[in-house]
Amino acid sequence: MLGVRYNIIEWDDLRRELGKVQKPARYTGGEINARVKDHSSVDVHFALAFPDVYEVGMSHLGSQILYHVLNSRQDVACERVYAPWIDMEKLLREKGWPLFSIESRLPLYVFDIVGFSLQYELTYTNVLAMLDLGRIPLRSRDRTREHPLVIAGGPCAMAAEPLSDFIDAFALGDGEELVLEIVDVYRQWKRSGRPRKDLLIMLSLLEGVYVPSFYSVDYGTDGTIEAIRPKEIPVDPGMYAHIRDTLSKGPNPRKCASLNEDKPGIYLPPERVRKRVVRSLEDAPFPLDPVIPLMEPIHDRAMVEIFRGCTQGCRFCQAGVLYRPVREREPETVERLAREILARSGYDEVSLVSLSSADYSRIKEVVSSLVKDNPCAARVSLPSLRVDSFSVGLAEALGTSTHTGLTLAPEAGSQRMRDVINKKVTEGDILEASLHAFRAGFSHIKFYFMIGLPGETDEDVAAIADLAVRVRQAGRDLGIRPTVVVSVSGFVPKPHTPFQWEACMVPEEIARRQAILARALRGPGLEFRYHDAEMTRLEAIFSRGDRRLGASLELAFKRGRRFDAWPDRFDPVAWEEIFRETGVDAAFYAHRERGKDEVLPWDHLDSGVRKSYLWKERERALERMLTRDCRAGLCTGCGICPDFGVRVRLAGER
Amino acid sequence: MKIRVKYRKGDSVRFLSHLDVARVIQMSLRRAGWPVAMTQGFSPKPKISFYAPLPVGTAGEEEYFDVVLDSEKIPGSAGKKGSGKGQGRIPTGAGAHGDVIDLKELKSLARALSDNMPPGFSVRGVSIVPDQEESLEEKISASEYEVDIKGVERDSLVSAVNAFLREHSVLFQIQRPKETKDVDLRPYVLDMDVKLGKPEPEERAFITMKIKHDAGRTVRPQWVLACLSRFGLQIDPREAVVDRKKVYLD
Repeated sequence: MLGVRYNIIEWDDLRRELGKVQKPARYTGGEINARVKDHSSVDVHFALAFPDVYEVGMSHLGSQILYHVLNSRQDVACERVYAPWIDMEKLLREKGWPLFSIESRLPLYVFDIVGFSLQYELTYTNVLAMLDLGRIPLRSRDRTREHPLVIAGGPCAMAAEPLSDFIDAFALGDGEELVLEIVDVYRQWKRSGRPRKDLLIMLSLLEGVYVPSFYSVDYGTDGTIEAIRPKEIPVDPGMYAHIRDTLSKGPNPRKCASLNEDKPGIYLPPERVRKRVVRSLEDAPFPLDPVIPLMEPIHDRAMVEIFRGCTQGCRFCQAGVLYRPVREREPETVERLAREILARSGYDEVSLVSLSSADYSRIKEVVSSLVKDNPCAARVSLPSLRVDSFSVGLAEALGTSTHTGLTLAPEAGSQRMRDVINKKVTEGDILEASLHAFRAGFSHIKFYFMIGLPGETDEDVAAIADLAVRVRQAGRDLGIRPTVVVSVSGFVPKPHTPFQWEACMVPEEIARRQAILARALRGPGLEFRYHDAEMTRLEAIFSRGDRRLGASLELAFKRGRRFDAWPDRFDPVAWEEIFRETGVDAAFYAHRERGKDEVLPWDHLDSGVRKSYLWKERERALERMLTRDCRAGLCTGCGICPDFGVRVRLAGER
Repeated sequence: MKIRVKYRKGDSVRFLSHLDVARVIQMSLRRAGWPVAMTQGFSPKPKISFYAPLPVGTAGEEEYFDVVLDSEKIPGSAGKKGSGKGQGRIPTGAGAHGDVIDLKELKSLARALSDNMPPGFSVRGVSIVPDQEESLEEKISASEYEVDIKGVERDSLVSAVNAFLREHSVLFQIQRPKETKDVDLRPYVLDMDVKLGKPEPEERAFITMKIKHDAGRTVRPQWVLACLSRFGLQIDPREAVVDRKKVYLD
């Protein structure tokens, strides 16, 4: 039941206005498998909020999983809401309409829970815009019992301190179990009639929930963090009893939230908050009936997650840490899911999704079986292939269109740099993979590289171009005229990675290195693409930012900054001004190397991978030492399995 | 064998683009298990032809597409070629591939398609297209639109429409991203009439327009609305709700 009074925007009014905006189908829903429930028959209304446009959000598998999980519950109605494009925001404001959900056009403020998916840092201004358009007070402390609970999950939640003034609680790690626990706690709280603060306390007792307002941050004179500590939270006797009860029952015994015996009536939240881990993907829910958008999404295909986690151990990669350990689905399950989703959806392509799909222990058998036999004669595709002949062989077996070309990610041009980042790929692998691709009929190969990696020299940069030229030559030797596309992005050091202490290169230097490549990659059959170096800097600021950036975000929102990841919307000059006015030194966040013992803004959020392991990996990087993949059974000691009581699960070893 | 499907693009899906509609229909056909023939070559595409595309924002009551079925895969008629004698089986026309489809089968395919379309879409009829028939695009001679507008003054609406119809030529400038083009709307407007709604709180009116298709070329009702301002009607054409009620086939 919705407790708040509201008006729904009449369809007739909406349809007379939508002709004024681009791609109006972003806002009209009506998709196959969208769930519209009777609002009087459910207890909890959950808005799944994605801070980017509809066609991006609809391509996100995690949101589809959560939508399915939440709507499988009879007492929950989960509806979707996306960031309105600039023109739609203008229309909403002109008409005095609140941001509304796709399914029932419910204003955002009537929902019980608004849950944001944080996939990348440059969507943070959209989070604020969506709250404001949804008529929800921006700051957590200004919300009352009448306002929705605002939570956020996704990879960025593991280090989203810049958002901590605006988000009531972060959900860390795998969400499919945790989200329902949050719903249950919400229901329990709602019935209890207790104040809003008690809801946050109750949530903080769940493993994986981080309530930022329960922590205080002390800063040193040099601006670095001295300590992040849980606050002593005064609670009334009823709440005290509830906490004691919950802690003693201990469904999450490893949590260290506590009651201070010396100070009755004081609750102490856990010093570190642990991410959630779904133990087995095999038992995890997966949507057989994903919502099928009526307008074309960015990824227009069915998706089956074949495993979660990746232990290749690339030292720049955040996902490789956050999604540990590796958990594979059984091949029979993958095939069953793929066939069923294809038949039900009508997609003509199914993508076997993971962080490195060629690593799936049963990939060959699954691919050959699905290619041979599936209900829609659909194509099978693998995102994120490795750079080796085996992967290209897979692409060949898939019948990947040789028109669309092949994309490989060696990440660095020189062997030295590939050793530094632990990308266990040799030049021989790259050339062999390319030759294999050319022989298989691909004439278009795209390579992804990063520049600005730790310790990178001009020679390492030049090696990127040399490699591309050599690949082109290899193709020419086979008598074809290949196109080699080199796509280069600036390296952004990410939290929870071995490179989390590194400085991000200044934009001028990234631009100079881009220019080296631009000069070297002239000529027929070579194409060079690169990202805006200023945008790299902004991402670097927010990815390792702390709470003090909240003021910058709020000003940015007020100045109309939206969709900062969109090149045509990104405005570095405006951002410079915003940082100046809010007293933020961009270099402090982006371009400063952190000390070994510095308290990092996410140290109290536990990914399962120990900080000491990350530091050891950083040292190994500087010495160019490779670290193996633990998938094969040899533990590298990152800590998650013993500390969290989980383990790597490969197919066939349930 | 070619099947012509008459379908509805309803009010709730009016904001889909023509490409979106084509994608939705292709997916619906696959869900419904239609044995659609594919083109040969590198990237096979289903053999479906759409006609007289509707722009974003416009709904259609009687839209058409043609789809070629793979006769090998037609349920209930697999392998049965060239006879056309079985009871209830309909030859697809002289000179056809000699394929037949059971009338009941065709109806059940139609029902399956309708059931598998997203809300707002439905199948309104299916028929078999004789092979020698010319393209539907050639046969479409006119579209009838209903334009639903709100908040206009009745008198100025009626007089603007009449004034438009009295003209011999009404030039409209089409603004495209890279070019602007003048088109004379008047010859395309075969007929235009005003129906007044009940005087609701906000005055609402309907204009029906019959608009010519000339070898695939036609004009949009919104352009006509934009020109009515020259005849004293102040209206934002983007706020009009436009439905194509009927497509005239020769």
